[in-house]
Amino acid sequence: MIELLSYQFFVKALITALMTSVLCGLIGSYIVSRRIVFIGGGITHTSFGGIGLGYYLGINPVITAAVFGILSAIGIKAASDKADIREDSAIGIFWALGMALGIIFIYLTPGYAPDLMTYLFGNILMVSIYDIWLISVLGLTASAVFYFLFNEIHSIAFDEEFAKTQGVKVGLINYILISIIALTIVLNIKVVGIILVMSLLTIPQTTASIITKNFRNMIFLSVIIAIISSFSGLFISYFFNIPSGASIIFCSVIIFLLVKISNSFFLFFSK
Amino acid sequence: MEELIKLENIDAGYNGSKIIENISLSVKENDFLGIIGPNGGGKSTLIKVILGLLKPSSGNITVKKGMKFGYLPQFTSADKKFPISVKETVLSGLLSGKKLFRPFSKKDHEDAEDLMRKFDLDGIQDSPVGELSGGQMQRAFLCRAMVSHPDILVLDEPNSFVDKDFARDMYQILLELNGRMTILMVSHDTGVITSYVKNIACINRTLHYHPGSDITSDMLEKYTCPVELITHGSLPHRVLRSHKIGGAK
Repeated sequence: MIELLSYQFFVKALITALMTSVLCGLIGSYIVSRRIVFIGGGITHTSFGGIGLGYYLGINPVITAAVFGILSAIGIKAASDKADIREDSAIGIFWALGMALGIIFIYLTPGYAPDLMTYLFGNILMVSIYDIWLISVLGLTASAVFYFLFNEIHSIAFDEEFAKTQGVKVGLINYILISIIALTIVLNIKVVGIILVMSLLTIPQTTASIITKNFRNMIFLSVIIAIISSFSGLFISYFFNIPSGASIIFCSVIIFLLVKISNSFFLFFSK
Repeated sequence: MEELIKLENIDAGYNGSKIIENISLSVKENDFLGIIGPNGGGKSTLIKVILGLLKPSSGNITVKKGMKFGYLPQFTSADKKFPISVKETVLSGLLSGKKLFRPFSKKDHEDAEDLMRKFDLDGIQDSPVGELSGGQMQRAFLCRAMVSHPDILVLDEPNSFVDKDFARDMYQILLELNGRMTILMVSHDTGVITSYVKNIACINRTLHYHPGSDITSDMLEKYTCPVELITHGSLPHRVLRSHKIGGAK
């Protein structure tokens, strides 16, 4: 196990797992508490269109995916607020549009898309130094935003209208948060893939919410659970030679089940 | 008396449909204004316009500069699973005075704690708000509305979820508060409202302002106020001025 740490690719993967856990633990707590998991799913799948466009134009798909992700986040909000389309319908439309565009662009791109599978299923062992930098900068930014605006964010998430009557800049803070959510999703696509990215933003948080009903503690616990899941998933993926994204998610579900069952036992015997 | 809020010929609604029409209303300092009207008559819509939550489709609204609002929303099903404690809920009523990027001050915490003690919530201040009983939750939201000592307290159906004992206490508290702040209260409970408010406005798409707190048969007939609540009301001490038998439909 020690010799693993002498491989540069493995150390890079560990650092990525750490930064991803901090970012997803934080942002996921907000997503789960505010019940906007489905919006996250919409952003994830819409950004697939961006990945396709990136291939077609021959530029880094992460950049085009980020643009698609943010535009879809704003688009979903605008469609439901201003155009009188029900939010879940708007999400469904963006979701489908993004997938369709992604398929069209990839089909139009001459030749075979070599690491398309990386985007669908993710591969934490393939992340570049550049990706690590991006995730770290976003992680620090998100942490700073939550640290300095914690009370405002907490209040908006609970009761947006009341926060507005208190003069909180609800619109601005909402846009900042939805942008951070979109970027978090896009940067994590490389780590666990489009299909699994939402689970990183929901399973550790749901596990944490079994243990605590306090928002601050929920964030800290989610981060810790995410770190345990991703580290153990990473080692399992190495030793059993299975894809890292899937094994990370598998570990997080196992932790969820363990916590849920032991919590039920605890409640049963403390009666 | 200084004018705090002035509405002139306001039309407002959702997605192009008009819920309220041609509303003009002036709320003065220290008023205790009750707004009554049938369900769907536009009570909550009017409140949202006043609070700046809904942009009117036409008309003018003027609010005194720097005015602080306290707001008790209609008791809908607050998200029972949302991770927020009673104390955090009350503290969120102090966001208007808090400096951006800074935590709540020591005084903010003390103000919140004092108020929770007064409302018998100090023992459960760390409990998640979603796990409280209906009455406790309503008290927590009332604390949140008044903790900042607002210039005007806007209450949307405050009596809808409290038990009878607390309802009486609550109105006493409101009367006390009215010495220091203006209160605007929406209610379908016309019986209770008349014994506490100073003035009444009746809204059913359009608004009619009635100085004084009696509900007259005139109001009931002309403006289709919720008559059944008055004829069937079982609350004592209600005086209906010039109430003709068979006059009210």
